[in-house]
Amino acid sequence: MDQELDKIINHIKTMNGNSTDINVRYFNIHNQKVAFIFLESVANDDKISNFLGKSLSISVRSKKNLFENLFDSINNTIPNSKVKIIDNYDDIFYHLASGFTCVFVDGYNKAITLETKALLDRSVTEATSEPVLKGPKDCFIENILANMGLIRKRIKDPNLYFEETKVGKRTKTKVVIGYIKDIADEEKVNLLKKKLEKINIDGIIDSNYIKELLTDNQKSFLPRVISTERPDLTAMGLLDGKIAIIVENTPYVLLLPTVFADFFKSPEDYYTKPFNASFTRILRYIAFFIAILVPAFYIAVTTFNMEIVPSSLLISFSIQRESVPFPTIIEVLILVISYEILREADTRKPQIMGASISIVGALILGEAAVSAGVISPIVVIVISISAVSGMGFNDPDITNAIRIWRILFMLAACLFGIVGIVILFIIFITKLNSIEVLGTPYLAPLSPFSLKDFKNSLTRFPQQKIKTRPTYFNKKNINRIGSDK
Amino acid sequence: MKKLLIIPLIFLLTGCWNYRELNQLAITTGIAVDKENDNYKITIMIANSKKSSSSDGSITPSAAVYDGTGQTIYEAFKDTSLSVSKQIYLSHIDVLVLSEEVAKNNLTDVIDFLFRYPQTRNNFYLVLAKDKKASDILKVTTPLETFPSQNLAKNLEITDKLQGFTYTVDFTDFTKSLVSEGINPILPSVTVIGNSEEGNKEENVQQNEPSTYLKLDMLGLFKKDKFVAWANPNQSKGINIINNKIYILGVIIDYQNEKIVTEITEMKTDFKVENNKVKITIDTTGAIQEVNANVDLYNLKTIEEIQNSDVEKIKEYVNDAINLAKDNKTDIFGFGNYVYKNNPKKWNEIKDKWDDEIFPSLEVEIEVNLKLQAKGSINNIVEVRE
Amino acid sequence: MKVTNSEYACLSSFLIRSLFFGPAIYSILHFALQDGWISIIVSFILSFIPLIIYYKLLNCNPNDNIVSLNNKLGLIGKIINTILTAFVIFHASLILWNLTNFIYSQFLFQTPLIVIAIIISFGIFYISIKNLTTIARTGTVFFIISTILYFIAALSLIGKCDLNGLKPIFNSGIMPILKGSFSSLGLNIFPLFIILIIPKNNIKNNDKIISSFFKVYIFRYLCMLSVLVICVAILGIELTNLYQYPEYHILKTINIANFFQRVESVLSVQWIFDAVMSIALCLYYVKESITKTFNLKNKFNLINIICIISILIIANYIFTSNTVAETFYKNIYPFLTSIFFLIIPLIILIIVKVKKT
Repeated sequence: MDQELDKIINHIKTMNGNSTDINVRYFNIHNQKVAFIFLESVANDDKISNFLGKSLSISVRSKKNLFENLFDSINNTIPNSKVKIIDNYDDIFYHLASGFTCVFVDGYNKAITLETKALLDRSVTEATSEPVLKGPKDCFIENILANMGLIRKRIKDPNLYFEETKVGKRTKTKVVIGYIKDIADEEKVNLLKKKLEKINIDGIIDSNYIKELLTDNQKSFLPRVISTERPDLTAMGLLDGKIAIIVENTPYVLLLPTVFADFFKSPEDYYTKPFNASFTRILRYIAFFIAILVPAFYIAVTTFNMEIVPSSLLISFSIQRESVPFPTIIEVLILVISYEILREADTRKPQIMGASISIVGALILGEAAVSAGVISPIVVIVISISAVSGMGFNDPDITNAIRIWRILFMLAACLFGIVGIVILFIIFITKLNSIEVLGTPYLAPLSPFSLKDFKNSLTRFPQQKIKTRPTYFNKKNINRIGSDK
Repeated sequence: MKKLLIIPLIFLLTGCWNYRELNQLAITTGIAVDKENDNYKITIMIANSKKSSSSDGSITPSAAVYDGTGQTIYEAFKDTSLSVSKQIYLSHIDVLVLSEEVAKNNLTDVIDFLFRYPQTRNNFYLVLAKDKKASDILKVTTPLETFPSQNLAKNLEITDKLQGFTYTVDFTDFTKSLVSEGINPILPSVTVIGNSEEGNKEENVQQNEPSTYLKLDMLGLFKKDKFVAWANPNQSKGINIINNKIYILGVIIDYQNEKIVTEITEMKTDFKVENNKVKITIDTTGAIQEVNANVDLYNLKTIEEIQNSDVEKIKEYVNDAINLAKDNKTDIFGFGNYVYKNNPKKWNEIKDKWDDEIFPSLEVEIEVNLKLQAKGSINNIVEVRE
Repeated sequence: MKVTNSEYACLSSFLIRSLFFGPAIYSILHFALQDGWISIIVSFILSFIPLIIYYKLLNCNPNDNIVSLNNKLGLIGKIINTILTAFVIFHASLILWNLTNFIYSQFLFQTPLIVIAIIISFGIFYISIKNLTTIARTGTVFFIISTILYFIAALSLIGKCDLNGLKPIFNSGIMPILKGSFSSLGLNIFPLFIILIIPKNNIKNNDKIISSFFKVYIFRYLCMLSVLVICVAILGIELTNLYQYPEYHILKTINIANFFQRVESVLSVQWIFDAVMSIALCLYYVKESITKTFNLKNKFNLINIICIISILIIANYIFTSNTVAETFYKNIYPFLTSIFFLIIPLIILIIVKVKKT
């Protein structure tokens, strides 16, 4: 780095193409040129003037060499806590873009930076995508320090470690790994750190990028990482032995490793009575399989294996089919695709145009198509059951996965009936079993069978009865209730 | 790699072999088998799924009847399908009606096709057609059910539990008693009251009292797979008693020239066959249901007399039944089966002679234990006072 | 590639049941008539002989599976390996024939046999290209589903059982009972040899193998016994002998409260799971054996593809008609399995013991 002030300032300005938000302020203290650079878009004016006002006046009064004195005075007087000394241009620009102010003194090739970040984030608000009726309602925001704070205030254990890396060549996004040292598995943490180091991409905009880059070698439709907006879910996960990945500028925190059963848990289960929670959880599992299998089962039962249906129902089905010109599979496919289009339109529309699309869609799908003789009423019922069952999940990834598997099962059923569904089910289970996230089998606790863990996966037993943490995550400090070994 | 797996699948899409749309199927709900000049004539009843022509799409199924002839059952079905525009589908048969002539010849020829065809299930009922052709029975319309075959099947199910002198046989039971050693099958029968020509039409059900309707009738006895005799109601009751199939039975006795009805609700029958002697033990409980005589029900002796008369009546039913079976030289109760199960060596010696010689000469000893527990809601008879 | 001891036991249970629901019931009941249940109990007692042999082979060298054990014996070992591999392919194609015949005769009776076999082979191929831990976990899931379906079926049928159908007892004589036991041993127990492909050190908690294995083994035996008893009790022995797949026809008679009826298609799925998992295990055996014996690498899963295609071809063209198949399963096949899966392991054991001393 250069030593002359003008050269430094010029270098910095040309590095950024003379952007309009670079502001430079020159001083002359005891005949030494001092300059401040900050980026107006990210720095807070009040804090800068605070610094200028207080510490510089002190330094003017002293007589020693300005640079070293400057350092002491900044150290002792400035109210904010982050002060660093930097000596290369990349780091300078990184800190400038993070909202720091850089102080240069003519003749020295180092800079002092201090944090004067402006508040560009929203405040902690209610969770929009994962609502809960009776529990804490705060959610993560785009500020990484605030997110860490929301977790830290829930787990006051000194063993909660937060370790930071920077990922992304151009964005240099801060990524923080959080875990409880004596619960989480050391191997998994090390494996995760190695994987993060291997990421070689130019920009990380959202935690989803990291999600994809961490799990790219196993192609599967089902999600393998939980991304959540709620700090209470994160805290529960950390206590279970999971590892949290907090990414700057996004309110979604990743939790690794996950198993299939985790997508059927919601924090609401822990805020209501255990029996109700168990009932709801079992209902979610049933809903998942209904959503995938019911359209396929309907197609198989009405085209290949009609002997499953009782006589009176079969006669009523065949009367309904009389008026429909398409084969069953085309009928069901038309309905599924139009339902998906409606759902997509529903999520993208702004609030103002609200109700009209849903009403129009329901009218079209329901009444008019049946009366026009395009589809039969029973297919509408079947698809609505399947669609409604598929919507009851927290994570939109599961809903998307259900979409694809539903269509695959329908194709298998239309080719070979029940036998086709069974073969595809075998392939489905095998595929689920071959997924391993950071070394944890995906279908635990079903697949390496452990009866103890069913207490908190299939059902939700009362807190007194869930005595251990999940055994498929960790081996040490397993007891929740009573003393740790 | 995985994408290569999809390509062969696409080749299989060219015509899925077993794929049938529901409206291409003729859902058969009942079959009737007749014999016509040495050929089999099959009448099938199809659930017609044509939508009625009203614009709001109301669904009213109706039945359509087709027939066909052939030298074997398979050929007769093929002949029938020449007149039906859809593919005949046999998984939902409710009832199979056989005429007397068909039953008098080898019945195994008739049911072999249904046994072997993978689509047919084994829970449909078999009935005989008495005094009429089987196809007439299948065509009679009823006001209670849409399809006559369903009507027949439900009638069989209900009366099985209520009457005590019909006998509901489904396909598994029938074939089991056909192939098992030492037992012969029985079938119920049904007949048409009224004009069977009229019974075919819609007008039959549009008046309050249909002029033509079906009624369940006497039991038919078989020897091996040929039909041999009818059983009158008393004998049918006896058959049901021995075969342990009574749920409710009404026993009517004469007491001082008036009738008293006792309803038997639990009946357990056990028999033992030893040394040419059959010992039948019957344990029952009963309740007095209807008293038309002038008796005093508070009197213990009266109750005893009623009880003894009931026991005599039951023994009479059983003896009637056994005599009928002996006269026709067919063991329909399974006494031979009992010997086979408990004394197989002896059975091997006598099995050829069982039906014709040994069974008719069996001694029968009946022991009835009847408990007259209840008298209904009132304690004594209704005394009309001036 | 570690497998826990309960997964090991579940995998072995599939090999026992794979040939049971068609050929084994047929042969036991045709030999021993209504004393089939005695045949099964006798075969349970006699089955300790092969189990002891297999257990000793497992313990010979905890790091080796049966294939590498043979390879250490030199040229004879390699020849034995090749013969055993060929026989395992044959066994797998017999299971595939049985399953295809079942589906052809009951579900899809107008589809050509080869197409049914191809569609099942997709599922089997997909399982076999995964590694052992995945296969073991899939096995656990299917074992649980099979057990649940079995209990539903058994509990719905138990009300109709009439134990008088099992009489007369001991009518058939000793020889037929022993013949029935032998065919039960040959078709059900001797294929357990294939589980020896997993070396002992790849099993976690390998000191508890015997207890977990026996729990599952006895449970499966009780399942088989109860299926046989229920079939004969409900249908009677003559009718059971008449039907080609009596267990399937028994399921057709389930009718609870007029609501739970017509469920035979759904409840028969447990047999498809059993057959598919055992063929996948056989394929795993063949893959391991070929790669270890001839030192080949399995690029693009080529070995799996070749094996699956050969199993398909053998399964379709081996039997000219159903009757030939039934006679083969009843009379000839138990002898074949006893030669390949009993006598040859005995020879291997003797050679290894001789070499050690």
